[in-house]
Amino acid sequence: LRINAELEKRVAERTADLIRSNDALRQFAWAASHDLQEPTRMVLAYSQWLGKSSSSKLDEKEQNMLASVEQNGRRLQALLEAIREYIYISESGDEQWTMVDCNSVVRNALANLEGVIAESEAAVVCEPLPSVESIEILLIQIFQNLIGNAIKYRAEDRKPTVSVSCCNGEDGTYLFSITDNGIGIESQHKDYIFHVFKRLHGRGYSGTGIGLAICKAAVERMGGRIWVDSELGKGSIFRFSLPQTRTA
Amino acid sequence: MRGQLYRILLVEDNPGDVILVEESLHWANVQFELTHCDTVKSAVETIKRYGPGDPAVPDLLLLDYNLPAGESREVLDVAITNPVLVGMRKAVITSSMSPRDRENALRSGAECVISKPAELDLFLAQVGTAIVKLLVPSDTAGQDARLD
Repeated sequence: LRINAELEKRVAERTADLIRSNDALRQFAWAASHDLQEPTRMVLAYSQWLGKSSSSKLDEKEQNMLASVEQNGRRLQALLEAIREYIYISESGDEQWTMVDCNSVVRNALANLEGVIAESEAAVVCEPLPSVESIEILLIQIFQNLIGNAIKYRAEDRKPTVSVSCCNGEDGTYLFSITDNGIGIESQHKDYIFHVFKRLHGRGYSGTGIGLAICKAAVERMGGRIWVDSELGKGSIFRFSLPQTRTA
Repeated sequence: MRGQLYRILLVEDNPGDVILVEESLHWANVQFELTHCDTVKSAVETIKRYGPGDPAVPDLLLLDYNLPAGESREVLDVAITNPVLVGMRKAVITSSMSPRDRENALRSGAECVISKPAELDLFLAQVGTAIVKLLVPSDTAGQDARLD
């Protein structure tokens, strides 16, 4: 019994240590992304200014160099914004837990994706969804990222179709599925894609590589889990579970 | 409003931003005379020095809210307590989009918070428009206000 108590005490100490170092790391990442933003803003603004004021004096190669400075400044800016968004979402704050109607969440997400959907001529079908005790802005983020990805990674030879559905999962959870007919993911990459800044595709696909990490952080904050089933060349099914009543 | 000269006190530590703010004023066709302080300390001293009848009293304070060494809030405190500056408009300018920072700035006495976008064109238009709205409130119902 004494050994047990001793062990429990040690586990509690370890946990407290971990929470402390985790918080310190989070604060560091936040401060770093914030302080890097200033010089990044300068690089971007002044490369644009130079491009306007002196492009007629530069030869083609020099113009390309300047354009490259600008592009990379913009990319750095986007990455820093993504980091802050990620930290913001994974941080436990005082967001409102309410009964959220997932149908209206998906409608919101689709409205935000309006341009992408029109441009890709994607067909998005949404089955009736339940209401879940959750944080609405996180749910919108999740659906928007997952549906956006389903369209972004579409196959060239067919029109993208995306379907959203929900059923009862294990242990009092709802299990949501976002099914697409896109390019699919090789099985060895199924975990990798949920890590921050991990991208499978380079040129041809825009993005910072943080969308799925944000989904993972958001789902986990609400006490759920996210994973993907996929067949390369045929499509993917992203699934996430959420407790039907608040546990997180 | 054509030809009117506005006195602007800019408290900003980043020389790159000083030039961008000046360019925003040019963009908005504002005739201006700029006093620039790059620390909280020098801004506080400058503001305390304005006395009654002083022709150099600014029309507008533009305060960067992320100044190193000292709290930007102090600058607003001193500006509010100097009775000579009762007519001076007070704006905070920041690259922070965090709602908490914005609320703090407004609570400290800033009339508005102007953000610093990363894209040059957006910076000039947003900052220029916001300044014109503060200097000539009645004149500028529309967006992208410029004086002309």
